[in-house]
Amino acid sequence: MSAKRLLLVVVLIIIGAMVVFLKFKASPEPVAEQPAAPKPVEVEHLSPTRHPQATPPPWQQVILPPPRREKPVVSRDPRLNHRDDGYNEHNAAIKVSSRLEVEQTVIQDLQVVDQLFQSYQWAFGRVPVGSENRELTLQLLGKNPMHLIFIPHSHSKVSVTGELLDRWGSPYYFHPISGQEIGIRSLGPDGKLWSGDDVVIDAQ
Amino acid sequence: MSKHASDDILTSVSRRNFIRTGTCGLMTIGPLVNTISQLKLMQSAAASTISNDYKAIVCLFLRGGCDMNNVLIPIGSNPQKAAYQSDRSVIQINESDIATAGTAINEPNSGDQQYGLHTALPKLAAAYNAGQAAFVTNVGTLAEPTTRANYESVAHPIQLFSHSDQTTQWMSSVSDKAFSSGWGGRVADLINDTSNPDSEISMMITASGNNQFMVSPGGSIPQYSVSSTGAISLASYGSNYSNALNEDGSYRTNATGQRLRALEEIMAYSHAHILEKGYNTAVRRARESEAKVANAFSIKDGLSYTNPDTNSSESVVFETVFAAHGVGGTSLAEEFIAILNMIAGREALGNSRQIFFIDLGGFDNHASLLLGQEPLLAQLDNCLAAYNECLDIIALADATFNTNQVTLFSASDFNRTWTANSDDPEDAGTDHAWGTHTFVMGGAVNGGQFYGRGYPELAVGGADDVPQGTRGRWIPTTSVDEYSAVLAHWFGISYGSSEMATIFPNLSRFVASNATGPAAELDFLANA
Repeated sequence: MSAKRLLLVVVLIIIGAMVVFLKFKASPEPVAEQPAAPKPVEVEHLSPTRHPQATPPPWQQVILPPPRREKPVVSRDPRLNHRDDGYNEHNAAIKVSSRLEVEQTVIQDLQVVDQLFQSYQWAFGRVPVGSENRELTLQLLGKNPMHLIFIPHSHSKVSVTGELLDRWGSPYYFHPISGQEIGIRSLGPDGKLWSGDDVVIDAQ
Repeated sequence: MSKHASDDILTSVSRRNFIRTGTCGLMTIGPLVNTISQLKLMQSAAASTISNDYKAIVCLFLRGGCDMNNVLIPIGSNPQKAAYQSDRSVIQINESDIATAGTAINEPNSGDQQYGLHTALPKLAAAYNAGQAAFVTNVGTLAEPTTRANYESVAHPIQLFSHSDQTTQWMSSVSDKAFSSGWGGRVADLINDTSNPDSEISMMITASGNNQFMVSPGGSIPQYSVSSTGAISLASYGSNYSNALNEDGSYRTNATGQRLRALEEIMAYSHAHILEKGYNTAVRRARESEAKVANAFSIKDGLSYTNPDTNSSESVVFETVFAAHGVGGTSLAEEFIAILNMIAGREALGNSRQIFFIDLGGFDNHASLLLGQEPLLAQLDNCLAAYNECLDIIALADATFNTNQVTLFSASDFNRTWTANSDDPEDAGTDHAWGTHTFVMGGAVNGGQFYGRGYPELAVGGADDVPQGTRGRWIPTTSVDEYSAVLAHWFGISYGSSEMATIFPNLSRFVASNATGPAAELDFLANA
């Protein structure tokens, strides 16, 4: 076959491929069924709580609900549990967060919270953004681009307003240092910030 | 083309033909590559609409996030006074103390609303009232115009509220991308070749170590560190190499002298390895620059002026001025003195454009705001006054200099939360927030007024507060890009130019494409 004929054949093939491609693209896609309103997250307390939650706590109203899944996603990532309501549980982080609900030292608590931030960083490249306890905690609860849950919604150390509480019931005090580090302070038994019994993890 | 001809082209590429056509191609590509490599120089030349008169900008960075809510305080008949007094409760500055300190100022652009500066800032208040300083309100890092209404739908600066990211973004003026260079470095990269053809030393001089503000693209223009006593010499050879060199500059015969000699001989070798070569270049450049800085100091040491108060001739000694303001020996005073020496001795450095960087740390007052901020602001206030006085002295001693040629601007990581984090007046502090207030100072400043798009509404949940926050964090109404562009414009970069777009790649999100100058509400500098 001459070069001229070869060129003609190639051009015809390309034109044919473009026609097929455009035809497929122009055909209307089946309209996906609109996701139903997300069902309220069930509240299941693992330990006695200071804030019984018969109805979803107010903080859940500010987490944009992810699109609800009609069918369970078959997870190819053993680290995640894809829920029907669109959230994805980060299995390791959730297991770590459960340690905040058992008896351990406050230093260990701070290390656990630090681990949760690290888990978030591994998932998103950066620790959660914010300077207030609530906005950082909400991101650990699933208000993030992948709807990843690092702390279960039923966690007993999350207050009704969405703050992560230390073992004495005071919100942790967070100090955002960089995209890789957040200083963490427990207000200690007296619940008073900057007093002598504060316990802190902060590189600064 | 005949069938045979096309077959020839496809099948009969001879070595001779290949070499012939290849050579022709290379001859064409060569000039093209050369032209591309010259584009940067052409861009620099295009940027050079500036004359050869001297101009310098001084970046004063308040590290840690200065609480500016306690620097500009509504008082008197200001309608926001009640909100300040109630919301700031245990961390407020009392109005009666402001009156005693004499730090009350008026803001003519808002119908002469009354404000008070922090009681530790009486000299800055005096400079403001004398028209030598101005404030720019509610400035901050922005990825795009942001309001309370569109907060959830627009892009935000990377890692908002964190120290290191917000510091970086103030210095880079690029809030939505990873750091690659500072805006000072980009200005230097574009104008250095044409503005400083006789340059003897980098046009970017820092008195507080390396910083991101002065990182130029690809490291084209290095930042040079100085101290108040001159160049920072290599360590372990004594002050100004006194342990290694004799007075005539020859090597001493002791071990230290021989060590320096050996080092310099090694540095004189050429190296094939790129890192070794780079290291050698850096060390050699540092040693050469030391001599040039020494020349600048000698020029300054030779200056004298007639003191208008005593009518006597006096030498220019900046240390005396800072000592008279009670801040002699402080870290900030030393940094100011270092750059004042470079300004006074600028003839030896050969730069008609200079960029300086100094800083003051300690403003991360999460605890004990009142106790922690007061001494820092007092140091700042006295240093600023001494610095202004020193510039006046240089102008008296050097007829080619006037104070319109140097503009100082402040910056900080962020402002701090409106409300305190504790009820205890001794312990209470404030936390990381966002939009802050800055000040600019210098002879070219249209002083005595506020710039920006109004003072923020001082209320948690108010028009300027980040939604769903509980502490009051103002959404900036002026971006760092806009603020910095005014300074770059004063330095000679035209609005709408490709250079301005290179220096501030996100500026077009905030400024109309047909703008030829700063918006009226940001026109805080008089262009000569």
